[in-house]
Amino acid sequence: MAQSPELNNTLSVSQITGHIQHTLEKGFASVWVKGEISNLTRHSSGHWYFSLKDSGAQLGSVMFKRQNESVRFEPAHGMEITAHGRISVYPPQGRYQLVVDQMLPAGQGDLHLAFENLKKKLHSEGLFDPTHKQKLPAYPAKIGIVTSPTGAAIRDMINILSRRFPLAELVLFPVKVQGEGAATEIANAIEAFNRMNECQVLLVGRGGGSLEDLWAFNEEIVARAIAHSIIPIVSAVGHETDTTISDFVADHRAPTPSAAAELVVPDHVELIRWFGQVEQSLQSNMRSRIDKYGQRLDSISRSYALKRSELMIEQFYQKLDHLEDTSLRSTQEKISRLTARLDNLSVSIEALNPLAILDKGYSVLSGAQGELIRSIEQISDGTEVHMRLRDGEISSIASAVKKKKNKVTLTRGSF
Amino acid sequence: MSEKDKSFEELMEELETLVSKLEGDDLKLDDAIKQNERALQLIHLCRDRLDSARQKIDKLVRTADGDFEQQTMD
Repeated sequence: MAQSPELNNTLSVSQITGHIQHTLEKGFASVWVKGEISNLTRHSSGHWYFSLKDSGAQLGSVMFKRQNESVRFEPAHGMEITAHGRISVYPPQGRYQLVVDQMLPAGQGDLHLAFENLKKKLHSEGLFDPTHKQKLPAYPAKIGIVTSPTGAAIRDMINILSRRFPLAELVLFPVKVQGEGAATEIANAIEAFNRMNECQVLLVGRGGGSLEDLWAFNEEIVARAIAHSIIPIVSAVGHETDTTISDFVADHRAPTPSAAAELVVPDHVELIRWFGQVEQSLQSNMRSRIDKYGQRLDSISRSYALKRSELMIEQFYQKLDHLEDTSLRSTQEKISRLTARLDNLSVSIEALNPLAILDKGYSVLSGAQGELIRSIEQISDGTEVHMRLRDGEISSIASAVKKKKNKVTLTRGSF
Repeated sequence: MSEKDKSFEELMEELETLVSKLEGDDLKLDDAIKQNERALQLIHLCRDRLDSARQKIDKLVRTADGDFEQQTMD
């Protein structure tokens, strides 16, 4: 049943074209299209205009100058190609077309698609995960090389490895790097090195070539062998601009085989220079360390702690001197005191000596038995007495004995 | 393990560790002297190794039983 026009739902031509533009351009922002070139026009502006067609349809296409300058082959009418680009709608003419940014001959186009598909698959499996990347050894003792035994790549690698670090032993595993069976040989070589497990790093690669030449390094079997390797692998395929799946899976990627060789070993000339620097810095380090200890020793020897013990020793010396003086003095004093006392005593003793009295003219009277006569009571007339003088004795008989009337007080206390 | 059995990498690792220790301050003088001596000895050893090195190149060749063996080239 035919519908009648509804005011609200009716679009202008511009409006519907705008919707179509939005839908197509959003839905086909990046597509690969395979087809045959027809009606190719190279405009004087440098842009290329052509159609892509197959048996059932055709698609207007344009490739602008900036993009078509990097196309490496000569596209021609009737040629099968694979093109990458986006759909663009041109409203004034109500036309849509493919704006091509990349173009490959059909065979290569297939490879390219295979490359993109494998890359996507391995990426989603985590094979490119940076956390799986292994560190390269700083000073490998043994380096495994998987490449063609002929060709520039192996020569370059051996030259550079020998020049930079002759200490490393090289183990070559000659393989086919292109053509039938190359991928299997490369994968087997990587597995053989892992079984052997003597090398610390592997170089896997080849020199430059076409996409087909490098294809072995885009094969899944090689990618998986690299991913499974317990030995770190440096991928070195082709020139700077070539990128292979191996490069993504490998632990490190070098732009060329020469660069890979430089990446895996240090330069022994620089190492030897480093040794010189280290020697010097070690020496100056030790000198400053020893100087520092010397300064510490100096400051300790000047420190109060040590000074204090010196002072204490001096004080002891002073004390000793003082003690010595004191004891000497007191001894001398004692001696002179004693001497004086002795002198006094001898004077007294001298004074007490009874014989000394005789010197003064006195005499001592004693009886017949020699007893001292101290009192008149001991004598009567006719008693024999002896008188002793300073220089002799007299014996006589007492006569006219008279007693004093008064008590004799003249005598000294002890009499 | 004798010095001769040690790989260049082991010697270099020991040297690098010693150097970074010696660059620090917290080291007793006796230890510093000992380690300094060892570092100089290691430099000597490593230098000797580098000086006397001639690259040895082997090639893996498949044997009859399907395995591989190393053959020295030139």
